[in-house]
Amino acid sequence: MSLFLAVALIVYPALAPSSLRGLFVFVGIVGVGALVVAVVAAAPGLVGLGLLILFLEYGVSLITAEELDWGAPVYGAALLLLGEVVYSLAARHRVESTAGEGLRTIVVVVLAVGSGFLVLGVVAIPLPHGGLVQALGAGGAAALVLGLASLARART
Amino acid sequence: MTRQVTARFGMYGLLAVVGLLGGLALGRPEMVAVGAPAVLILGIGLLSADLPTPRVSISADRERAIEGELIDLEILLSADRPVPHLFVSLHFPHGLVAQQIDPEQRTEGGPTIDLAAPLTGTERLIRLPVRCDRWGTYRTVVLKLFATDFFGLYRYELVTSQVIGLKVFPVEKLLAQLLEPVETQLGLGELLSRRRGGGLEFAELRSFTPGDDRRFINWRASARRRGLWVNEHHPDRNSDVVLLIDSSRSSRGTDEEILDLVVGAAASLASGHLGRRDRVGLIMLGGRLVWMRPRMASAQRYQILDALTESRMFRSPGATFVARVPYRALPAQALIVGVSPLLDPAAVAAFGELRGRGFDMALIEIASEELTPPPGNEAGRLARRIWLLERDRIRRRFTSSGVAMARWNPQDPLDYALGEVASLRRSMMRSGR
Repeated sequence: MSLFLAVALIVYPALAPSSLRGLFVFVGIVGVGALVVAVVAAAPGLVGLGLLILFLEYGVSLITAEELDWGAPVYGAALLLLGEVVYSLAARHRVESTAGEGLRTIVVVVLAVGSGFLVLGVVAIPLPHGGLVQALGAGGAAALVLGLASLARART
Repeated sequence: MTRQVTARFGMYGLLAVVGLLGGLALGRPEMVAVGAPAVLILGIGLLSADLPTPRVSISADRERAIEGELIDLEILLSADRPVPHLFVSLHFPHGLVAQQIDPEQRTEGGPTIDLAAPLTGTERLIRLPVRCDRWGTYRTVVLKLFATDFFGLYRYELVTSQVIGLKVFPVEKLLAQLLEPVETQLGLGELLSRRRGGGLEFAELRSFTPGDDRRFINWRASARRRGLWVNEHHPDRNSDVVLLIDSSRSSRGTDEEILDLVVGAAASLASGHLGRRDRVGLIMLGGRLVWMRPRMASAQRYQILDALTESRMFRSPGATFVARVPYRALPAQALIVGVSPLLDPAAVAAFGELRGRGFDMALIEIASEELTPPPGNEAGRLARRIWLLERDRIRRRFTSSGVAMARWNPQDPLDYALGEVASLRRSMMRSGR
């Protein structure tokens, strides 16, 4: 399953109408390579890096897109699912790696699909004062990141 | 418990930050849509992060076991609230090996074992079979409790050392023969005294004297010799045996192997002599002086085994000075059986001193040269030759002073060495040494 997901995540951004398809595939392969290294070296710390590269590949492929990509939540769910599977493989020597794996994976996928479509649904609603909404969104995102950072600091 | 973030926390953190900030930078809501679940998971994980407070206690199902036996360790886990993702990692001291208990949990036997122990209630008892591979005193087991939250963002850890107080006795081998002292004691036993008296074993014939029991008249001999003759018997007696154990530490790599042999031999000898109704005592030369005056009965056997199992804990180079041994630990006419690799000069001096005091003594030398690998270069070979010559000199010194001694090759049974010592003692007694 992880192999299928990895191929799908490499190919999906490359389907975008762009002259940089070759570059997308190359970046995707680098990302999957990082995931393979994480599994082989049993280094769960590298999983985040692999996912980040795949995510950046997707982000760059969006630059030239003109319409909203409604497949983003599914892409996000596949990305997190791949992350969970690879993380479990990379941390296979730890007894806790498989604890609650099934339920956690389901929750992650449901959250990914649900929250992704919610975000896109909100974005698709035409609103007056678009600039103000954008500013509010930017402020909200920054506040969210700062809030998470301060919460993480308090809990570590 | 201590709390630390896992690599999964970093994974979701990266996706959240890149999703939100990348979405802003590129002006693409799809990035936010992909990053949103990571934000949600982090938020839920951070808000619900609550330090669990599990407690643990360990006990063994018994305090004493014999090498090779299985014991059950009972691990009692408790907490004020359920901890669904709780794990136990046990690290056993060398000599104890956990057995596989649940193949589905991927638990493998070994000196370290990890167990999934989800605490769905407030208490849980786990029975873990542990094989006692090696004799010794095992006081503590290092235990690590760790837990994760639902999303696996945090890892909570508690390392503790739990007292189990387990003693594993060495296996006592059945010996085909035991050493006999020059003089027996007055207690009843299985040894034949050299004196004459009431017993079962025939000693000689003598002419009847008034007062002799008529039951002992040998009528056949009396008829032949035309006078009354009576049978005389050897009384069945016991002896005092003091085991002199050299548990001192040497700097050689075979140290532990030699100690295993010394302790195994001592346990077998003690068991054999106590079975013969001898009174057995113990003196242990090592870091701490241990002495036990000769006694009979099975209680003495357990006391000796207790002392032997603790020998590894108090070892140091340099045998204890024998002059500090109380007089009653070495009764007159006792047979002293020494077991030593004769590597520690202090131990060699101690054996020599005891012989000098006139004790009846036998010595079993562990052939430590058989355990050391052959040297790889010329200098090593020369050093080994000098060492062997030195050991040979020590042996001859003991033999010339009347100590019957034999080398015990670890590949052979102890009986071989005992047989050699017994034969030497007989020839020494015959020659009056």
